[in-house]
Formats: sequence, structure tokens, C-alpha cells
Amino acid sequence: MNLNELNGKVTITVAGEEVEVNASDSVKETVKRILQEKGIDSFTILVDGAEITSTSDLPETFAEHEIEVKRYVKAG
Amino acid sequence: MIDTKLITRAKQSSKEIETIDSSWRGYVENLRETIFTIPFKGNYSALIEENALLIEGYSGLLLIDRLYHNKKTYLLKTPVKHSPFRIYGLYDSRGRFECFMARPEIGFHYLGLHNQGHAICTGDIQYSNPDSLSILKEISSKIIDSFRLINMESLGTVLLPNEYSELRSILANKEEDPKTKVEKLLNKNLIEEIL
Repeated sequence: MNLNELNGKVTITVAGEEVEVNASDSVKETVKRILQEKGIDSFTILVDGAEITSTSDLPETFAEHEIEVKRYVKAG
Repeated sequence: MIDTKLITRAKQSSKEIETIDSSWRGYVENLRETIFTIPFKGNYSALIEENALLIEGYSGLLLIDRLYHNKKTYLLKTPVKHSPFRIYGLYDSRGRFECFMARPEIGFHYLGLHNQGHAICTGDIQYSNPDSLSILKEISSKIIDSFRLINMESLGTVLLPNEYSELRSILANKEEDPKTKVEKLLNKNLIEEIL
């Protein structure tokens, strides 16, 4: 556990940038807000290094999870 | 080819040399028309289809598991999977790159029919001319990655096997707009919003 976690904060990675969030916050709502702010609409989410394949793979909060959001290049 | 000096010096009555020369010219022309120019060297697999050379840039799993529409990303409840799936760079007989193609043709981002099938629409992918195996592999890797996402804003020719007929019938329907298609997919529980 690092100092941030002791403060109730964790760092997630969004499109290569580190973003600090509250560990107890909802992953779904927080990530949604950050992506809207950054204008990212095509993306993939990794939880503890593995890409989610279903919304049920998404944890409730950030606590004890490593979350990364990668921007996705669209085909077509 | 017979030396032109030889022809000049030859007597007009000597048809034999002219015949040999004509035969050689025909042979060389035929070679030019039928021989492929290899665009680059390397340890790769290739196919020859009619007048085109297809060089393999990717061989492995095809996975299509997400859909993008109106600034939202959705997950497919049943992802489309196929293996082995191959992406090729198509080169003409002179070794000039023409387009990317896939075998088998499965996916959502294909252009109209080319002589050898459907060309892949590369969309937002930036790439330079694939004039080396490493560049071809690098672009093919980007293509297979981008194939995962069904982009409803630039849906191309929909090519899916029969086992995905429900998904195919909704997405290939040219009479309906993307919004209606997405609503149908949601109603049939075929997709779910990622967030």
C-alpha cells in the first residue's frame, strides 16, 4: 500500500495519463466522467491488467484494483 | 535477345534469324507478363491469386467484441471469433502495394469488391507504404486490433459466417439507420454498454 492509498486516493491510467481518484468512488461513474471530460468515446478498460469482456468484470470501487483505460482506434 | 548488329548484317533473305528473334521477343514478353516482382525479401507466407501476390502480415485469432455508436462503446455479449484468420497485403505483379485483404473475409470493415475479394477499410489507421515485412506486420497488427470494434459510423460491407446470422441480419440491413440497429441489438440483448 502506498501513501496515496493511505489517503484514500489511488491513481488510474487514462489514455497514458495518470489520474488521481478516490479509492471508494464508483469505477463506472468516475471513469465515465473522466472519459467525457477528456473527450474519449472509443476505449477499452483493463482491470488488474486484463481487459474486461463484460460489464460484470468491472469492480464497484477502485480499492485494491489497478484500472487502466486505453483509447481505441476505430476501423472503417 | 539476338544482337541487332547481327540482324543488320544478315541477308534480307535470311528469315531464320528473324524468326528466332521474334520467338525470343515473344518469350521475353510472356515472361514479363507472367513473372511476379517480389516487393521485398523476407521469411513470409504468400499466396498468388490470379495477377496478385498476397503477403501474410498477420495470422492468428480474429476477435470482434465491441461496438461504437454515438460516442458510446458497447460490448458484444457473444464476441465473434475465428482462428486462424489472416491479413494480407495485396501487391500487383510489379510489386506495387494495392490494399489489405483477409482470409477468410469476416468482419465489418470491408470496402466494395476488388478483383481478389473485398479490400479492408483501414479507417483511422495511419500507415506508410508497406514496402518491408516489418512494416506490413506492424500495420496488420493495427488492423486486427481495430477489427475488434464495430464502428457504426462507418460500417462497411458486413461479412459474417452463418453462426452469427442474428448479428449479421441486423447489421447488414441497409434499410435501417445505425441508431435503429443499435436499439435492436440492445433489445435482443446482443450488446451491453461498457459503462
